[in-house]
Amino acid sequence: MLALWLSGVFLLSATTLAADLKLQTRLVWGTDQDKPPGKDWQEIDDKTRAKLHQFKWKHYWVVNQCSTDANAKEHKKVSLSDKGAVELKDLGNGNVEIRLLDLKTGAEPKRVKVVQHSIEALKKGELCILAGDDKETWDNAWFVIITAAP
Amino acid sequence: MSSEQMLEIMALVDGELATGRRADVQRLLAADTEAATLHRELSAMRQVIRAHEPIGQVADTREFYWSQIQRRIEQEARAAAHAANPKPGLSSWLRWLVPAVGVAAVAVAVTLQQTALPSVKEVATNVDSSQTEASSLTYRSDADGVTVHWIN
Repeated sequence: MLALWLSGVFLLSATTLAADLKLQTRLVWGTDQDKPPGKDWQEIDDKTRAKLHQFKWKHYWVVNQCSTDANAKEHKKVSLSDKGAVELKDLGNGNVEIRLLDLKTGAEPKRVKVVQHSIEALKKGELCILAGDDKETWDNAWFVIITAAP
Repeated sequence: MSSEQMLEIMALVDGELATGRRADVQRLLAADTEAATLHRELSAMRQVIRAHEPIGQVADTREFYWSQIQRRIEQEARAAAHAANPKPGLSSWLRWLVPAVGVAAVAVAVTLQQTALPSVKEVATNVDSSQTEASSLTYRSDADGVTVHWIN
């Protein structure tokens, strides 16, 4: 009876811990251009913008964002646009694995970058950012910002 | 006898009198007893000096002798330069020791700081690039709590 109770407590704790890893993923466009007409993009929040002070752009438009529960069983895929996505997985060692995928029509998603980041650091408010130059628009950049969901 | 005549007699004894003046000085010596006496005394003195002049004898050849002197001069010059700019010794060690201690102190400070703050490796890790196709630069700011993987 006691063993059953302890097992239940253990399972409940594990479930609670797994549920704790809720990650927020944002696709952000760094540019000096105003918001294109017809887009409902929002400027990034001030707290995050302050953390991006190393970068030069006037606007950081949040193009897409979503919250995902990352777990240890599988990589959770988060589509950011028709061109890119990320896969998130709790590695069970205190780190989360983040895979950046290049989506191409009619082809298998291509891994662009795979990184690991401390879950504890993310929960403390740290940002893990995958970024690069915008290949279509000169002097603009894209950012995939991952942090613990609020 | 004038001073000029005395000087001409001295020049005659030394063999330095101009050829055109020798006949006149010779006539003076024959006619003037004082001039002749001076000439005799000066000639005797010259004989004594030449006979007893110490002559330095050097066993070495002339070239070797002067090379020794040249070497001595060069040694003196080096010694003077050494005195002005000493090399070995405690000051030389200090010259290297002070910056070495400074570098070591910075290294210790950086090590301690890295111990106190999480490193990029501890917080964010690039997975083996062979699994991916894009190269990237990783930047981390502990102060801002941001890790950026800039993909090229």
